[in-house]
Amino acid sequence: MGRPAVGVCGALVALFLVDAAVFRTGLYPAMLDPESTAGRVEMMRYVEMRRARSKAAQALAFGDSRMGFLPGVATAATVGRGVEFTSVAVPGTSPRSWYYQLRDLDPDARRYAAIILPVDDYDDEDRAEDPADSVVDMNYAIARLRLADLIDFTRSFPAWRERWVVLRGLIIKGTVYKDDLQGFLLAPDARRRKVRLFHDDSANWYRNFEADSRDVQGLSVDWSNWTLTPPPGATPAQEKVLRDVLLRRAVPQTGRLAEYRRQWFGRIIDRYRGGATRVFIFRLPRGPVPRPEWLVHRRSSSIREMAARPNVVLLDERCFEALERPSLFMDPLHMNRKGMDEFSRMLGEAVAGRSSHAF
Amino acid sequence: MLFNSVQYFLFFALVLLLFYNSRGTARKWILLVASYSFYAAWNWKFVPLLLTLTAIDYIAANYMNRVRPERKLLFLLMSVAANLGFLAFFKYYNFFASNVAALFGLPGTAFALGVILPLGISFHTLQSISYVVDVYRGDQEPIRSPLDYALFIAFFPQLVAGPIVRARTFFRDLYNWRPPSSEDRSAAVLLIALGLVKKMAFADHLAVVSDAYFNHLGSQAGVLTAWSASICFALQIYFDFSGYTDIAIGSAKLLGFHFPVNFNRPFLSASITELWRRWHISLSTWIRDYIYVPLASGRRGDRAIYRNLIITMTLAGLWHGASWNFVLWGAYNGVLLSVERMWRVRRRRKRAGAVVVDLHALQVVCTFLVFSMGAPFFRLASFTDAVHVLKAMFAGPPGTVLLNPWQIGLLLVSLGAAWAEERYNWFDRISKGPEWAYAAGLAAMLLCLSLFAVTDNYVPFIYFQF
Repeated sequence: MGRPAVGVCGALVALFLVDAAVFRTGLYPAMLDPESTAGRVEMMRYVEMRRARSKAAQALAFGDSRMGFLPGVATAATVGRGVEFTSVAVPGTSPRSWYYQLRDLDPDARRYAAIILPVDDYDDEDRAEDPADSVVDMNYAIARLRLADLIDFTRSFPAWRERWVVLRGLIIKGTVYKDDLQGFLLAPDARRRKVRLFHDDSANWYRNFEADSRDVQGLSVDWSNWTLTPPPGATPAQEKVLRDVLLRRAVPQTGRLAEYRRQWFGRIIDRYRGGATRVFIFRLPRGPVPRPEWLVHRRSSSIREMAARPNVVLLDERCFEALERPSLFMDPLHMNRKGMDEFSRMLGEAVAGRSSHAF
Repeated sequence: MLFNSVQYFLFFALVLLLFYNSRGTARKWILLVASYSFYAAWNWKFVPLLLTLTAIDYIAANYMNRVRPERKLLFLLMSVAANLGFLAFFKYYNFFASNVAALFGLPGTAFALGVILPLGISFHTLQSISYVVDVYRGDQEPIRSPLDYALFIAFFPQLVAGPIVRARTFFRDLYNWRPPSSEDRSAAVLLIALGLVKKMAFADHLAVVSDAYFNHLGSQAGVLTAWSASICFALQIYFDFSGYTDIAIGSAKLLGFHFPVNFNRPFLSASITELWRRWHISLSTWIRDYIYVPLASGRRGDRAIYRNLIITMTLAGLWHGASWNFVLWGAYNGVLLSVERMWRVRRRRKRAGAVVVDLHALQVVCTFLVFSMGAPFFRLASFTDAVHVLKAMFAGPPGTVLLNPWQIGLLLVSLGAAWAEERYNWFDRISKGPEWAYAAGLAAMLLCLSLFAVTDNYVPFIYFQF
């Protein structure tokens, strides 16, 4: 191609350099919308890195929106046990993005005495979507991803279409940040003020977070007839969500979730192999009305396999079963204020209880 | 396989690889197979239709040269009838049937058939007709090689939505093929990048804005709202189609074929006449050569000119789509052209010795606004809806501008780029200039793509529906 080839190569290099100057240096990530996917992760990181730590052993919790964990409640419930809880749970995140979050939060794997990871179930139940194909993981982790992750992160997506999107996003980060950037261009001053406000106050907001106090009392499911009785006063939209979540049909079990969990939980555990940090894994309260286990024939339990590793502590599977009540949930997936308080206290005690000899 | 998809670029890279690693006739076969594969990727069931039309026109043109002059017309009519017949059936049957049904007070779907419009039929039909008419007129030698002729019709960069390439242009390049020069290759790459920017960073964003208005008519009232939606759509058509054309011309250039310019910054025109000289040039010139000129021959006088302009543009409107709104859109433009011509003639008569005030910028703005006024008829299927928008443009509450500040900023940048191109010809300068300037220009386009391209929303090329 001669001259055009030189021009194209030059253009690609220039594009990469400009993109890197803006998006890889922290110049733009500092201006991310704190309520966007990447922005939430970055804000949690900001808060966590600036948190004044006590001398107590630090226990860091990950999770998505279902992780109704209030670190303040857990710490208060375990006063005198020498553990301080903290959380970087962000709605929508998954083990893959947790790994990259953790890698930058704790670069030399010595900052935390305990890493707390929630799972839906110890057995592997494949759902309709393959978690490995979730491109949104890149959006959450984008500010934490480096060029060195290019091959590894891209290969973690099985489908070629997703691989292409991820590869493009990792090389030219602007393609991932573009929606956020367009929002920024719409009102740059408002964004700057919002970021400043979140920087100043979000630590307080997270600490004093009060969840919704609604519940779903009256909800029941007749599993033999596959019928659901919604709580009184439920709107059609709420009823639909309840049905979609609780009465979802099982899909063929292929083992892809097990593979995904082995990879990403495995990596988190491997980071702390040989160190003093313990990785706690537990089953989240499954919902206001747990689905019976016989609905799906689960073929494996990748989580139980991990319990054999020396630095892994698997909490009793039934530890939080008492919380699986309509009075403690605000919808089919998320705990309400009371449920979160109770759950945080119980999780704190469970971790601190195991920590007296583990830490 | 859309021009702005990864699949297209993989396909195109493979074609380039095979093309430049073969010689002579093999190259033609590669292009033909690639072209038919490209077409089949959309719907293989219409491949026989394309082959049939190709065969009819090939035979008709070749027989025309062998028979007595008085029988030439028969072959011409046969070929044109076949082309227009297929076009009429696939594109206009349901339109015709619904109007007949309406005449008899029956539901619009009473005689309707589930006809799918074959991709690109409007374009390759015009291309075929121009070829046989040129052969009939003696302006073009009939092509002896069926392979060459099939390639002319099916050549993938222009098959789906033009530009409508004349036989003499295509065969000049085919029979005197030379590898593209370094400058051509540079320009081609830049043109493809520019096309992608126009489509993905401009047209697709404008589509989001105009769709939000036109798909939910009545939800947003206001004069400014209606104007901004219509302007957005007018700009969307331009960026969409001109972006497509740029990629087509760039792709062809990389294969050693030189297609004529199809859009020449039409929205910098100071009159509707100028706009139509700069807009979809391959269609405008086709219409001029094969409809307007034959209509005008033998008829003198201003009235005949105005009538012919309106007829020609109405037919052009109908060519765009089978609906009365397209007919009206064409007629509207025909009337504008006639009125403008009338005014120009009168002004010329009065002008001797008068002081001329330069109102170029104002004329450009007015031309654009007048053109944009027709956009609702192009965009909306229903006449009532189009009239509703037209009314909203002149009466009602002020409303709001639909474009947000950064979109307006982006459009101003594009206006600046168009103006600079008009004035300084920067595209050519960059293509032929030093490598750093070329790389910087290309990098700016790629950066624009990476930050502003719409990638999470499928927006088809508008002209694919024609």
